[in-house]
Amino acid sequence: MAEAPLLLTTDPGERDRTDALLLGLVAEGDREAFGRLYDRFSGPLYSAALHILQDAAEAQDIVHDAFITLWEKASTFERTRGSAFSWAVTLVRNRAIDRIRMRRRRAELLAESVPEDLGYGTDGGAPSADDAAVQGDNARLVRAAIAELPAEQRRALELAFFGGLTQEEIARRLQEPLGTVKARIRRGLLKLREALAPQL
Amino acid sequence: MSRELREDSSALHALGLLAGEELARFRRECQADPALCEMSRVLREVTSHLVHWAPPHSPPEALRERLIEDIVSRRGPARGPTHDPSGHGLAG
Repeated sequence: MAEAPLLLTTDPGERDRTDALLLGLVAEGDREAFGRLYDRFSGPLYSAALHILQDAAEAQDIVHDAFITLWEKASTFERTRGSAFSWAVTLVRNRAIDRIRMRRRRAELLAESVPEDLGYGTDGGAPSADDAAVQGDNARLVRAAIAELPAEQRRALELAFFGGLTQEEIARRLQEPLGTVKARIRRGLLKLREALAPQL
Repeated sequence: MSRELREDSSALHALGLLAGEELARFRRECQADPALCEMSRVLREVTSHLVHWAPPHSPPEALRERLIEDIVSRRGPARGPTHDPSGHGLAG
């Protein structure tokens, strides 16, 4: 397999096809493909796990476990049901959220355990040049799209994605009716879908 | 189901915010309505991009080394697909 063209592409469709191809090779037991998939996914996955858990050791454990699952279950992947990246994100996020929920139950400190503001609030969350260099064009596009959302939609999505809160907990946290929270999440995601359409 | 309700359910499902009876109902509706499932799939792709919202950090190189060591010591990947009508979002 030719490596450079696969790794250097920035076209979203090509990127997803490459990920799926690598995952197919992983399903055949190809360790080199596994390493390449790790190199493509691990940065954003680890960043998200760390942001959710606020603990580097736990974030590493989560990413480790998720990649072991990718290795063991690669053959169950079906591209028609979603991208390889989306699957990997789900594996990491579900595990990270399970951990913070366990942590909260243990400590009975629900209200205190989610940061009041995760750092991308009303200032628009525009990326620095360094961040963009690290995460690449895709990350920059995503952050720019998020920055365009109204602050209340951004906050609802932030709590839903990184906070590990249920719908009801988000509503309590924001002191808004449940229906309002659902509407903010819906509108926010639909706007992001529109903004990120070329990336999907 | 109205368009708004379909979009609500799909968005909540994509973010993993459906549970219990709500989730069971969504799965039933998905099986009967492929367009609903497709909407959830697309929104799940959208939510997966939210990882880029987190401040960027690189995992330590030791994590990569540990993983490669671990897969060498394990059996090869399992064979055969599993079935989840609502997609990868609920697996794992």
